Amino acid sequence: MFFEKNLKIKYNIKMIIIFVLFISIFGFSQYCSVVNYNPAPSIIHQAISLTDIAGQQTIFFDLTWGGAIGSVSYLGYEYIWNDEANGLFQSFLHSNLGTNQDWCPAQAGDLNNFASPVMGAACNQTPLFRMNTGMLDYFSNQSGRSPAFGVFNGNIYLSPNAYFTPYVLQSIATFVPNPFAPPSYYLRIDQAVTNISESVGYGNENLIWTFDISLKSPSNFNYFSFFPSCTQLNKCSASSTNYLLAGQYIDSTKTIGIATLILPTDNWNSANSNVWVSQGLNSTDGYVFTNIYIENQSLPTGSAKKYFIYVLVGPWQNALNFANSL
Amino acid sequence: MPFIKILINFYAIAINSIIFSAVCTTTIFNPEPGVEHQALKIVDPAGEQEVLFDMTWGGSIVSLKYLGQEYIWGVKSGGLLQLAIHHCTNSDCSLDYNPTQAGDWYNGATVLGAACNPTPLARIDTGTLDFSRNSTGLCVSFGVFGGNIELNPAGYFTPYAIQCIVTFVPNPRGTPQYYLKIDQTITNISDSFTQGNENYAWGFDLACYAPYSFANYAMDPQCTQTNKCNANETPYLIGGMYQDTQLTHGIAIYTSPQIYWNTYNSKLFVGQTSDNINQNQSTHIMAANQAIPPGGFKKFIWYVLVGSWANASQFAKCFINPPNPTISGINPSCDSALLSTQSFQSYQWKRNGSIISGATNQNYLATQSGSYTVQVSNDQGCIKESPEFNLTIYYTPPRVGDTLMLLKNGSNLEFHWQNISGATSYTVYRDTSPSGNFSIVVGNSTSGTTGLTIPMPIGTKIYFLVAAKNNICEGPKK
Repeated sequence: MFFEKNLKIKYNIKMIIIFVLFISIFGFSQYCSVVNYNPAPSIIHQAISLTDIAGQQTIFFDLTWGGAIGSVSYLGYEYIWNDEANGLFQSFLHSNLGTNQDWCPAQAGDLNNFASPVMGAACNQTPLFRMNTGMLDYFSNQSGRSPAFGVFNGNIYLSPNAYFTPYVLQSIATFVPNPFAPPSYYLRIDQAVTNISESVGYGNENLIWTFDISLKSPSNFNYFSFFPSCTQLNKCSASSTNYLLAGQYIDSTKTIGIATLILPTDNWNSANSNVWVSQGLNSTDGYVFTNIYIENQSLPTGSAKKYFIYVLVGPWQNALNFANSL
Repeated sequence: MPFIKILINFYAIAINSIIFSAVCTTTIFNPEPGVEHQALKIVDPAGEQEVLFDMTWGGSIVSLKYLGQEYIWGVKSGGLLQLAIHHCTNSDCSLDYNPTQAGDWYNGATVLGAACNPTPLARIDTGTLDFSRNSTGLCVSFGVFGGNIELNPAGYFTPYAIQCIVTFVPNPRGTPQYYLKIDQTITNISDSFTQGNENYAWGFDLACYAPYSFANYAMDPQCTQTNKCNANETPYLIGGMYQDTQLTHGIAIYTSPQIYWNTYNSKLFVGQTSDNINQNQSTHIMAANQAIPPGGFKKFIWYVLVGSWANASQFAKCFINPPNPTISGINPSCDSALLSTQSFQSYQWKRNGSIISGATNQNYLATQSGSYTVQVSNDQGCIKESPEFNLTIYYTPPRVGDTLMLLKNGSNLEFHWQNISGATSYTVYRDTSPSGNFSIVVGNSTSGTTGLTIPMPIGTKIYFLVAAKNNICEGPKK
């Protein structure tokens, strides 16, 4: 049965004219589409564009940069700094955070700006958007753990090298109503990182990870807030931290900006897991950053780590009210 | 997080100084006129076979040349040598959810990583596309290649990642000298949220396409679509395609159902078809009822065997129950050692890799140090060489000879003699009769120059003998 079908398709496929009615097949809504945009002058990337139902926010998931968020526009402002693979809004994993042995699967790409490949992407009715990404090692195999070079567009990254990691990131995005508008909706991203290292020796990884939810904005978003007060010197236990919210704003009253929200007790409550926030300005490259770190997360061979994140544009107080309501 | 500004260069194709071994490199080739693809190229240690894994078509084998001749047929992502899995959603399987390594004819499946290694030789990680292009409606995403959604026509992503690790293994029959071994893992990465936690029973399809001239088929055992074989009763399954009726020039694929596919109610068969339209031949090993739950994976090994059917099928037969010779013997030994192996049909002893002329019995009396092996065959003609047995032979030192001198030194008696080459110690014996057995040890010395000094015996006539020794052997007494 399998064989007959396989042959039938392979032999006749050239005769088949398939009209790609992707809108009807996958139910593309008016809020999700495929666009080209310019992350930098003269560079064109394809992206999945999501617009909330109220038409207030438009978000680009950059299909070259691993499906990381390359642009968030709301009220005429751009909230994302996307000059490099280190920028955007994305997820990292760290095996040895802050050391020169850090093995660091990254959603967007590596420090040489080689891109993590996206394998699949789609607009759907519900959820609005989904995507699967391979992850490169951000630190270009300084840990010596990579079993293979990265490949993009059918070419091995060789000059210089980029390094494959055996982790696949699945992202599913949708908008959820915000009872504390504006804005009317916040973006929710459900993610799953799957460890596909199980193979034939050489790669059956079972490491303890620090997850890193990284947000980069233009440098004028230099008013920072976070709650509760979980810092590197004063880390909070995931088991007793219902939410962790951190954002960056262009005004001292913190009405125009963007924040990241995670729910440690729901998604990250493993043994001895601490959570904390790092924020600051990189004046050299012209961006500000908010990174939320979640420590001591296991991801055994063949398993997936699931969690969700909110991306909240607009006033800090509204974001805080939303977090408190969850 | 620190970062370094470097100019964006997504399309780096140059080979640089990475540590690619001598038999694995990257290369650019033309899958069709005017089209360039990058590939990993591996060459067996004998230089007989050259295999290309196409980085655009999901790392599938797009070319296998043996002694300069092409054995693979592939056009776009169709054909090739690759893995596909099938899940039919209707009774006649006209609706087939079909994650496929190479892609869907129009679109390539994205390769995530690739590397040459000393051991294993190469590894490739690939996403998969639905070859049936979402005929079942089970796909939830479009394929993305090189940062662009495949839309014209659409490619359909499937949440299955394939890992492929490749190496060459020796062929005991020697022609060709090596066969290609593929270790594969397919992982279900659908485990997410809604709409995607897939848990189907899959039919695996190990597919090999050959040029049209390879029109002479063979399979062993006879597991066909109408006469499928139970995995738990089938130690090996091999199918091949050959240019000649004598089945001497062709390509076969082989796997072990008992080892890799022995799941509940799993049945296998070999499908072979000639495609007159596309001008190719194909052989498929099909394995039904294989589960890959969300987050789970399926691991298996298959082999690609070029050359003659006789040698390929022999390799397959012998894979499950090969002869397993070992060598026993006393090591180290003095002057010679009797080496033995288990009982088989035939034997050929080797020393340091070279055949020992006439050494074709179960036992062999070795008189030289060296690394010994024995190649045996069983009653099914399966050939296997034993692990090495590293034998050290010591030879009996010559007798000390007439150089023994006895000197009276005051109240002592001194023994001196010339040292013997290879001797590490000496023992002086005594007896009261020259025809005695000289079992009484007077003393030991490591050197005849130093010799041995004992109190002068008094009274009875005593006879002395000196014997040289090495680690194992004691020389004759004087």
